[in-house]
Amino acid sequence: MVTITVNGVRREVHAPEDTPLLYVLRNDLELGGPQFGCGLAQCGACSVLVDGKETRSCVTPISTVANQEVTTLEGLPARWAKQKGLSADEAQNTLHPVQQAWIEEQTPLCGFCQSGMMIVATELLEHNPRPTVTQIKAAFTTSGPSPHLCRCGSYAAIIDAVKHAAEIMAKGR
Amino acid sequence: MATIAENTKNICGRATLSRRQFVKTGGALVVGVTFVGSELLKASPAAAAAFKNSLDPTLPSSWIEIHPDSTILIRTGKSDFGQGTTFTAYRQIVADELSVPFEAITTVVAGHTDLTPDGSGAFDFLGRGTPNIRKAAAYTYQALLDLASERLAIPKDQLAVKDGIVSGGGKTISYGDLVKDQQLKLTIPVSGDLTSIFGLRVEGNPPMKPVSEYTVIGKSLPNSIIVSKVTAKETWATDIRLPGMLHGRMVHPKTLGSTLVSAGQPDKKKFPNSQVVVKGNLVGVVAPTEWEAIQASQQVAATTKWTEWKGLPGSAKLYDYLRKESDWTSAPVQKSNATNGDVAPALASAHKKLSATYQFSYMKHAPIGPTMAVADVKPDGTVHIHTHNQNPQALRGEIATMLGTTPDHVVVHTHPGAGHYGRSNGGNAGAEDEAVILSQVVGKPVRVQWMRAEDLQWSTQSSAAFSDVELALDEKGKIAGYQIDHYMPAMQDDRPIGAVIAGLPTMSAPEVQSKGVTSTVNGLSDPWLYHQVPNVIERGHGTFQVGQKTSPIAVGLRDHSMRTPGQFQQNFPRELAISEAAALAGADAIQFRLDHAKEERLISVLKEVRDGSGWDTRSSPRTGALSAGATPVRGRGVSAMFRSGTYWACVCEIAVTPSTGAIVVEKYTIAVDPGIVVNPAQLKRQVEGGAVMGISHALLEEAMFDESGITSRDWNTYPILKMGDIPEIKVVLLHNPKVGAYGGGSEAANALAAPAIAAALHDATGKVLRRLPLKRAYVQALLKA
Repeated sequence: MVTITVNGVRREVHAPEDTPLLYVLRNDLELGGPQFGCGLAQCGACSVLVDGKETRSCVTPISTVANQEVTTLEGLPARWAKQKGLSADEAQNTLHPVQQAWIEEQTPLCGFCQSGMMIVATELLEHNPRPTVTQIKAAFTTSGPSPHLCRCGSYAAIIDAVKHAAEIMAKGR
Repeated sequence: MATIAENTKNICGRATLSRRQFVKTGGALVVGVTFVGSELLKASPAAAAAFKNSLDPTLPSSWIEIHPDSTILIRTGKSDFGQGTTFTAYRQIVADELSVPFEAITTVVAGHTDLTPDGSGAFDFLGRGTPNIRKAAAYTYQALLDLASERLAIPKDQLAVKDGIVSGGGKTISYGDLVKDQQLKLTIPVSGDLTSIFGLRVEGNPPMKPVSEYTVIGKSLPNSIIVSKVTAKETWATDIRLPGMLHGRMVHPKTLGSTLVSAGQPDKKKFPNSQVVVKGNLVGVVAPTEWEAIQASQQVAATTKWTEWKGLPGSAKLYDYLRKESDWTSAPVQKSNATNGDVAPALASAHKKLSATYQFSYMKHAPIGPTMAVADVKPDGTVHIHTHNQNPQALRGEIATMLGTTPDHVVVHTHPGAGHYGRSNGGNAGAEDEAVILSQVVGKPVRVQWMRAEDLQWSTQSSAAFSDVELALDEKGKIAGYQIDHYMPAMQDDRPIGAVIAGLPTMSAPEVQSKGVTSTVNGLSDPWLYHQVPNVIERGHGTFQVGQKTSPIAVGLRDHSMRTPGQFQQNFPRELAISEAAALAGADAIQFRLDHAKEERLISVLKEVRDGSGWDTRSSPRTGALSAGATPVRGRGVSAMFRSGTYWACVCEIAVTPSTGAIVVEKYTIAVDPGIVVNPAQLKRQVEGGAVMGISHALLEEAMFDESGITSRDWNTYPILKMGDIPEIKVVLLHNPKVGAYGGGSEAANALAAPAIAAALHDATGKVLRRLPLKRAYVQALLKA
């Protein structure tokens, strides 16, 4: 048994210690945000934040994240609410600015990769609130174990959405 | 929001409407249609079985429900694969035909074979301006007017409808009040085969809303499914978990022609709950947890023995093999309807001549999530399949064939998933039949998930092709004759692969007599654009898939249509040849096209892309073109296409470094005239996505194979374009309401980049690479030669 903290909640998991985090999130904890794309840390569809750092859950054994904070797409609104000190009521009705921007820019096509894309965007904006297009491209291309891949070709829409999310965050809404 | 409505009974009022008012009983529209109306449809034994456990498509409530609170539900057999059309354009079209607000359509039902009426693959959503749902709405609107006329005692032609309120003679009534406690008597005439690739078609000619009265079409309304996907509230196919479900992994044969010698077994100490399932040459492993299934299947794979097979030519010898060893006499040669005049004398007396061969690589659809499915074979033989599939009705038919039963025993539920770009539009996505086979053996629901390597190595691919061009220029630099011969193996093999490996019944592998797109016949699919050319010959030559006849398990390199199918293979050689001809004539590539064009809309998109890209009119190659050195040289190229009612033109501006062969696309400009633009914002996103995929196809994509199978197995060995490599993208949307219809927007853009980039390479370096992809090694080799 391994105890992990996911989206602010401690969870006991009855799975072998070498089980990749992705399967625990999807099958044991029923968190469908991260997706199985390659199982090889080559695409980023499974990305989650581990202590704020973008991590490929498909190759991360659960034993290695036992004492760390895991955030999935499902946990982004609460993460934002906590960072902004929002009340419980406000938090209920708040999306993370990245999600808000993804909706307003109509970014996803099939959307399968977009959970991972929103995770990278969150990581980027937490460190760099006003990224340039070059910095956005670098974050999605060279910052992690592999580029974050979108087969539908939504990269231009993602860049639009990251820029828009930065604006929303700057306004604090 | 896409929700599945369980209650379909609280519906639709009563009105009487004779379908004879709208169905032409002869003439061009429905000649040869045998199944019109419910009774005739059900008279066909094959069709009858498909209609059990399905909706009656002749009933209006199968398409559109109007509720007493005036909210509306629509149903479509089209599955969304990221086009968003069913959640945006379909709602807009129905809203305008019914004269209701967009927001009144609160539910879109799609993708479930027991909840949707018409079937068909997830392509051509707008049906060249008249999708089924539009006609169903138009019929329903007339029925509502009839009902209102009766209720208000006002003649129908004196009624007006706005926002779902009918008014006339000083009286008003809402749709909701109109339909309350009523029964709508309306028969929707349909024809076709529900479980075929094209599904059913709504027939007849109901009055349609005039374009001038559109109030919802033309607006950038949001795609309702995006919210649930972004907020992690959507149920994806990957999320489906049934009670008692086991996780399955496949152990596919060692090669595309291997048979099973002996299946391995997992270590019972390490994997106590795993079970190996063998059916024919199909081997699978099931276990209660996904991680055990993965590990146990890897161990089983390592100890399973297969026969060897080396029946493929290998990537390096592909085009030699296609030209010299494929049997191009087995399928009748096709000619395009543009074929006209006599090319031979024009070629014989040519002032200048282009004689060239163009080669088009095998490409993978490469969905970002590998195929998966959950199947539940019940003791009574009923099968439920949860998948992500572009044609759930066709899958029903295929699974029924495999099991030796009828389609009414099969219900398919399609949920959102990774885009397939055509790979599953003929029915199966890859894992469904295997999940059914495993579930049947173990008597429990089974979830089969392919791994990344399997999805590249055991799926179908977009067919390779080559084309020979002979082109004559006259003394004035105009094209006097054009001849093109397209050679392509069968482009669509819809056999479920697990059934094939297991030796279970399937449709036949592609043969001359196979139906439609699954035939070996290579039809012409790239409409000719340059109608001022006096002499034109376009021919299509088809054959069997590579390895299809020699693989002991009848597999080999299976092909499947991919976004802009067939037309991509034919447009690349044509458009690059036209750019080369312009260069040969010393003419500007856009002006040269304009000088050979007749169609006003083509001329318009070419001018728009010229102006939008800041194109400088001159000949190619550019002054200062260089094919050596480590300094990037720049060039530009153009391409054009007509597809599904839409005219397209694209300009690519590139930088190429001769010493490395690396091409960077710096700017991509595309002009699109679909006629009426239904939803500008959504169309722009589709086009941007197509542009990026097209640059990826052009620069990177080639499914590599050896003598035994596909060797591309991951994103390193099958690279696709990264965000860091995208150009500045400029989309010019041309709203052209006088066309009176709306064309498709999700295809074509992916095909336009390749010929434009190849022409840009010629412009920059003076050398032409007539082979896709334009990857570094090939460009470098060309420039060194």
